[in-house]
Amino acid sequence: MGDVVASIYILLASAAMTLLSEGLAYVAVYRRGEYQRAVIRVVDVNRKLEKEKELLVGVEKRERHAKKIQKLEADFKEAMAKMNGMKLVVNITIGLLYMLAYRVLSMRFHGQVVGTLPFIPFEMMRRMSMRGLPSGSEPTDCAFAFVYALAALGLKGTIQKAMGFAPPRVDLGKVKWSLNDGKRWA
Amino acid sequence: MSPSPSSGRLAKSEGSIWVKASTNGGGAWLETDELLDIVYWMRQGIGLVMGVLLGLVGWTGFTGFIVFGLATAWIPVRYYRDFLGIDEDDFGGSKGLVAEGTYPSLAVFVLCWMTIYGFLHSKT
Repeated sequence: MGDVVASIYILLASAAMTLLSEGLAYVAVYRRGEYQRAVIRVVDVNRKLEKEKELLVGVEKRERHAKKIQKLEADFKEAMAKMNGMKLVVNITIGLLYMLAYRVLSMRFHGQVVGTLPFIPFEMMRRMSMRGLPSGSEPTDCAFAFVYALAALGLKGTIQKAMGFAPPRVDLGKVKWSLNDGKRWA
Repeated sequence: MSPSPSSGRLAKSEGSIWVKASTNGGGAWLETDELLDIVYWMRQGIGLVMGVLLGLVGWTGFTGFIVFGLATAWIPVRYYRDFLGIDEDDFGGSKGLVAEGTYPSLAVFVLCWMTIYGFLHSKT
């Protein structure tokens, strides 16, 4: 049962890291009026862009419609750049904190079986699920890295959503991006 | 008596999202983001429940993923089509609804399945 306790410990550590990082982001970014206005702008422009793209226009209005879409795409990219620019420093800080937490937990659980998988993972998955375990371990033995990755994937978005800090839903694939968009980050 | 769209008693974007979600035909009052949120939380719940159930019965093998996949694909679709009366085209198409919350739900499922199974059935 020791491995179950270990995996619950890792889950709780991951949840704690997520709460800490979201708390940090809230204090540094989310609560600022400037950021909130930037988010509203992104959502607003995205909505207009989607609406405009779904519109069917006659041949005579096609060129004007295309120019309008181009302008909205440019506005959208600028709004996204502004919003993301505000989060840049805090995102770097959070990234470093996550790296530190991973390092600490990795040292704590190195070589230890922290869970038992109820299936035999395929080869590529096994490289992660058995990372750091001694040779001779069972294929169903699970190492820290795998549990941590699952916890991050499962908990981060959910905690963000529950706290109301989830980023706006925008389909980045609908906009053509290039390296030189001609706009600087704010 | 459930409110009807024509009565306008629950206008779009007013009222709790969960009240709308639990109302038969409540799709008429939902915004796209609200529906996506409902589907997201539904998938997390399915991941949690399926993980716990499969762990409790000691289910092993990749067939567990098939069972999870079927549940996470079928239940939300039946819910929003039949109970909420949603036409997917009014909410940006089925692609967004099918994808919403799938990966976090899968992670939650594996974590729960693994933990419960390890607690109850593991030999170590």
